[in-house]
Amino acid sequence: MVRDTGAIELNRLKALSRVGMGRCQGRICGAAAAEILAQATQQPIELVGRLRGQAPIKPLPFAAVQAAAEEVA
Amino acid sequence: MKERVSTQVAIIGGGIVGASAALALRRMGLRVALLERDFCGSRSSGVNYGGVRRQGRPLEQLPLAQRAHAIWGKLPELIGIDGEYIRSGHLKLARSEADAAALEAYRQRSLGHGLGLQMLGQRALHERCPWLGERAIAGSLCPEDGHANPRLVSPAFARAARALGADVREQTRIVEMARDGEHFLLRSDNGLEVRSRFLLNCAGAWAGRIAEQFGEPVPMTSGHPVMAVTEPLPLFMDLSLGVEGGGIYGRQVQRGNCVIGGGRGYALDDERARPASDAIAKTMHQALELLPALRGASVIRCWSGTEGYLPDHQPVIGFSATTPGLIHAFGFAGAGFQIGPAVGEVIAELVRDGLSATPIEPFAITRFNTSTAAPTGRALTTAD
Repeated sequence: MVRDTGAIELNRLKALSRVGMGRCQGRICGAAAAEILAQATQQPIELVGRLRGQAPIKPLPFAAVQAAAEEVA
Repeated sequence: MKERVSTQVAIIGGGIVGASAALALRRMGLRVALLERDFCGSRSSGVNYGGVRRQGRPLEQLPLAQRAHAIWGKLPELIGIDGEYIRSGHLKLARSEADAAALEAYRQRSLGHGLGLQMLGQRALHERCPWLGERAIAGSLCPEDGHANPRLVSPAFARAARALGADVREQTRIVEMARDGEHFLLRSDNGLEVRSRFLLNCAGAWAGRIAEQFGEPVPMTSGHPVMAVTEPLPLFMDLSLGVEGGGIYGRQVQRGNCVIGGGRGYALDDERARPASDAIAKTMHQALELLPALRGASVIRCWSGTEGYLPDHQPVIGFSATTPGLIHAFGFAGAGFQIGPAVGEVIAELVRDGLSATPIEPFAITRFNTSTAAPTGRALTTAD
């Protein structure tokens, strides 16, 4: 399955398989995905890279943003 | 490691334009090398909003957009996947009477181009879209426009080209370009040397450097959209949305996530961009106004990308004015995803025939007047 994607790097595996794109955004599954990719491609784990960090660091509710905007106003 | 490749056509840039050109050239039976410094479809072609939209484009782009529309209609046959492409319809909203008049004016101007636009007044709009916020007072619907998953579609064009025999090289950065008689000679940072009769400049936001190297600099700047995606929500929105004047756009994918965009991010360096946190907050605020159903939802990820903009927000497509065999296709002003596959076919035709039946004159590089020579084209002959 991992080999089928042709990915040799973790962010590419993410783009081709959606790993790291769910609610945890890779915070829980990222390390396991790196292990699996390293094993599937016979590379040391350092070479598969790690998922690029993207905002927000945890799910950001629309309600929180709106409350902040109202506070400013 | 030294490796030499001799080919008819070298393409720099494995985005949707370069990869679809590679695919079209292979379908014509020409030899092609596709050179991508990162991974194919990993930059703006793969991380854009995913709008497959003709509505709202400058009229000069509509023949290309119509050609692309037909290509999108047979996507699985061409690239082997559906890419989550759906013809959901694209609705462009007006938040004022002036905006509604602008939508109606565009509808009239674009008559005859086959978009089939339908104006919806306030009542019809809210009946059709009960999930819309109150601020929208009118809308223009393009029923056959839609959206797709760029993360899947753009790499699939490169994969399809490779399956048909294109020499696709990823993680191959071209660091030297030169003319060698009738040929181009390209050298990469990993020891590859490519010799070709034609060179296609499909390097997106970075294509200006290649044009400059061949003596025709263009006034290109980079833009960085702010994109955000929510957790999966119950399906409620069956259209891709935009607003007149820009600012905010949104769609909901089949698995329920809403993808929204708007505002501007910033460049982290030459190759990477990030959404600005104040722009994220503003985009979320505007999205909520447009889509009250988002009230209880969360954004799980934000991102940006690097897009090339020319001052008139039109791309450069066509032959170089300085260098025989050089063809440009870049600068899509954040709107290259839909027309990309048609642009790929058109520049493949320029290689094979020296011209294309799809009009591209408005996109000539000579409009910036950086060179005085006339565009030069010569079709590939069997001797090549």
